[in-house]
Amino acid sequence: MTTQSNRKLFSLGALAVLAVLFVAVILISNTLLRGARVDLTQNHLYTLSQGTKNILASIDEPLHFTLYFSDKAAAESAQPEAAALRAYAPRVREMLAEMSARAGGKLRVDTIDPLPFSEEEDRATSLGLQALPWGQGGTSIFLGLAGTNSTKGKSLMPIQIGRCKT
Amino acid sequence: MSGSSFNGTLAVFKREFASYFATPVAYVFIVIFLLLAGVFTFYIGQFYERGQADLFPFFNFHPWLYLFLVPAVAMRLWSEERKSGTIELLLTLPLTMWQAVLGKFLAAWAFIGIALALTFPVWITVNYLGAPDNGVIFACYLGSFLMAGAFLAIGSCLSACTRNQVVAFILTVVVCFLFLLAGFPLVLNFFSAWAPQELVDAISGLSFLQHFAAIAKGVIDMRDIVYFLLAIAFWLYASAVVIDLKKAD
Repeated sequence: MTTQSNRKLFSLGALAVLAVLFVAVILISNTLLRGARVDLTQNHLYTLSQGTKNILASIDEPLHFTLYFSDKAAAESAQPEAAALRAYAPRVREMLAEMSARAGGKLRVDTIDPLPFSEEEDRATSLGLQALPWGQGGTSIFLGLAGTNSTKGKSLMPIQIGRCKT
Repeated sequence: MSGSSFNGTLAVFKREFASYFATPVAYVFIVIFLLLAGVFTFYIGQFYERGQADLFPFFNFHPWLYLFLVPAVAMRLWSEERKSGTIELLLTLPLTMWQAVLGKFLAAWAFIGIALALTFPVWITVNYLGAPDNGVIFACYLGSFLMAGAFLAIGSCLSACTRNQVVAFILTVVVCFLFLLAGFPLVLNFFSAWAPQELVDAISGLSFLQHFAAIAKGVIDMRDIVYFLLAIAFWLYASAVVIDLKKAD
């Protein structure tokens, strides 16, 4: 009887360990396998185009891109779109990282999470980024890119899901 | 995999696969699957009204179709064997537990694969009507098939937990639903009240819907493939453990 219940305990323990391992391996593979992908779309919508690569190669002054994404506010938001936004933001970030890697050190990319009522939020607004009122209590959620060179700063674009042509 | 262990899996696979077509199960399933897929695509998905040459309205409903149809296939995998007592016969055969679990799973997966493949007229239709991006459609089929496998593996494990097929069906639908919506507030709110943000993020990364949507864009990301394969492996291992545990019951 004891060996039976011992065995049961052991199996259940093994299952629990495995479940934790399962989540851990997925988290690790998320970082390890970054960029390992095949783009099957006809026009290679999700791959940097030759034109983009040419532009990146011809940058002649240091540029600084800042991706504003309200990760925390989106995580707390009750809007289903905010969850989709959070799944989408890492892809934008990876695309920017890929661009940065191809720009020969001329393009620096940072990510900022502009918390509500913070200086970063003021900065994002002053750069002209538009916010979505999806946060808890109607606070703003930003997903946008701002770029600066040595002399001036400008908001480049609000980023929308599904617009990936680069 | 050595030759003999492959043979064992293959034997179970053949027997199981044939058993679907020996009973009306296969025909009923395939007809209903195709009918529902058609209804969803053309009426609810408004395939014609959209005027776009893609299969978005077709694949968009696959997760929800699978949510009810795959558990119906999976529920009988082990609970029927246990109820009729044939599980004892199966497990006394010169087979390892793994071969039995894998053989049954692969047979059911191949069966769903056939149902999925039989939707090819939709692919032909959209190619006849316009010039769709066939690379994206191929990726969607692959993603859909992988997602079906993950649903099925969950069903396999839960079917092993009970000798009652109805219980197995309902449990599978509920667990699959949770996995589908893992990235959405409905599930996340339950955790976000007490769990650290890292854990909540880890849970949201388990969403079938998000991984499927990522593949369905037309980009085969290794992370999505690895996720589905790992999910299948995990739930199949869990099935083997559960069967082993309940052997004496």
